[in-house]
Amino acid sequence: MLLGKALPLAEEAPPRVQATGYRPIEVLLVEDNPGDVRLIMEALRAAGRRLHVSVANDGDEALARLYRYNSHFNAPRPDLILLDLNLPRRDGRELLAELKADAELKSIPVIVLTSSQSPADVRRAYELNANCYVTKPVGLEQFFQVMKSIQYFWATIVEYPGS
Amino acid sequence: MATQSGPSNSVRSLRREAADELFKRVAGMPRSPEGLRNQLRVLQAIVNSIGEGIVLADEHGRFLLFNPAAERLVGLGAVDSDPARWSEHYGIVYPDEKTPFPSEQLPLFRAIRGEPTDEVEMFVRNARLPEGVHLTVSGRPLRDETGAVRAGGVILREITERRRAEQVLRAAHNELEDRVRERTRDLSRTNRLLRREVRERKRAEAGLARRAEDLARSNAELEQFAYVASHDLKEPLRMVISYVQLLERRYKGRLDSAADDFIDFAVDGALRMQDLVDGLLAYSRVGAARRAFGPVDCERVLEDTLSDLQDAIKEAGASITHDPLPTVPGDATLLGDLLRNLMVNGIKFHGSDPPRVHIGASRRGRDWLFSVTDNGIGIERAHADRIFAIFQRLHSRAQYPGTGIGLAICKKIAERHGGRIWVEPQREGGSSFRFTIPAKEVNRNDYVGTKDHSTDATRRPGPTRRHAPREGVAAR
Repeated sequence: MLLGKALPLAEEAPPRVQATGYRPIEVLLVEDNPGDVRLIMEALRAAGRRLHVSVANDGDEALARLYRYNSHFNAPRPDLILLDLNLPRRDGRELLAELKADAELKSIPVIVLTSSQSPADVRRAYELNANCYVTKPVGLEQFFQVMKSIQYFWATIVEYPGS
Repeated sequence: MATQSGPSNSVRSLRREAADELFKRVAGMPRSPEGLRNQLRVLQAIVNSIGEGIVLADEHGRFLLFNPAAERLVGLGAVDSDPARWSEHYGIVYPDEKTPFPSEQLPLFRAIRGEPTDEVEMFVRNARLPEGVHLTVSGRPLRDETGAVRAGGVILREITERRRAEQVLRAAHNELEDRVRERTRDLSRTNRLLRREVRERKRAEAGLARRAEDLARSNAELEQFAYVASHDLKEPLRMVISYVQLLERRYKGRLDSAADDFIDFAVDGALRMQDLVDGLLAYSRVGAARRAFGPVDCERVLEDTLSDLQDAIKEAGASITHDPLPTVPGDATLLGDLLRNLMVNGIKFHGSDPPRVHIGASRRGRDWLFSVTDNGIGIERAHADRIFAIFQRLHSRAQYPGTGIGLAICKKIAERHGGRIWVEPQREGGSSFRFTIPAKEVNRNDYVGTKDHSTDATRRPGPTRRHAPREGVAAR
């Protein structure tokens, strides 16, 4: 699968020196739908910035990676988390609540990336200290545009706490 | 026997005095034969001429005197007969006109037995008096010096008139009572019927209310279903659209021309489906919207709508004019959707001339009548009702794209505000969409389908306005 596989980086965009140094930004994508995973990957590839994306298919797996349980003992600590809300078993809201309650993990920025446009979901996410909330738009162009913006902002503008 | 209604006491005592006096005179007869004869003649003359009947009988019941008045009153004169059969002989009965009067109870019978009676009432009917008469009779015993009863006398007076009057009165009284009884019976029957009717009506009303509630509930469930269905359809649809578009983007022109066609059809179908799902969502959202109505300044709503449609208006070279618009009770977002859909229609379905759309408003009784009139291709009268049904289209998608939901949404919005919507084809071409909005808010619980089952609007996962379809949902 795509787990832990680094995306090929676009050559024309030399990486900026930032808090992570020349190390690519580590992203944990928590998303159960393989179609969405692939689409996000394609979009990030099209955007052409250096991101290293790992995928967790549900909340439990995401926690296992973050706590480096079992087979995940050498999983990298992510700089950024992309979180879908509707997940099997432990869903995105629960995971968000747990992350933000953890002293070690709460400093990792979380982008909620979901198809839900429900105002209640939006409010709840921010109450749980999500760092931002983005709706997956319908239509390829729009989706690529949104992902490009996310990538540009979080990969080139934002400073991260040193690890 | 008691009289039911006799003369007053003073009259009665006067009469009794007169009778006593008469009997005293007869009893105390002068001793000289001449004087006696004279006295008798005088007495006879009096007795023969007075209107009251006088009958005397000796102690054996043989009649001594039966004056003409008495004979006239009882029909028969003095016929010697057994006193025990007097009643039978003269046809004497009680005032009820049927019960036989026992002879020994007759005042004359009792008088010769030494017993006075006053005002005994009776009825006499016999062959000579087929009609019968009512009499009141008073009797007195006549005694000699030693006090022994030697004779008895009675005075008879006719009271038929009085009895008849009493009977008429009683009959009238009885009839009145009968009528009252009957009327009471009628009234209580009517009352019973009314009560049953009230019961039945209450039952019917309860049934109706239950049905209305059921209808409202199933409507709400249907809306909820449409909402959830369209909402959940979006997720896989997003996948289809994204990947078909990705396929197009990456492989168009790199396969053969058939493949390009296939991709085009797939993309087109997916996008159309997206329009349909968005339209369905918008349609179900009209019912799901539970915001309280407030005053809506339609001028401002139109302004917002015009700025929304700015691009489409410019592109079509359309000119939009409007009357001053009123403020009405309603939901500003829904009314904006209504105006926008109608205006999009007017702009979209234009003929060879550039589109002209006029928005009018005038007061019609309790309603505001709005109109959106265009110079477009118009609508055949036969289709005027059909166009408001969901998914109903009159043109091929190649001619005019659309989903057939726009006007269904308009209808739903108008009805949600307690108004209605229709279209009037214009004689000079084009069509005029008319809708009414009550100038005062109607009680929304009064009509079915809009009953508020959920006051918590946030319970429904409602997409925010910025993703509401702005175009592509208006169609004919």
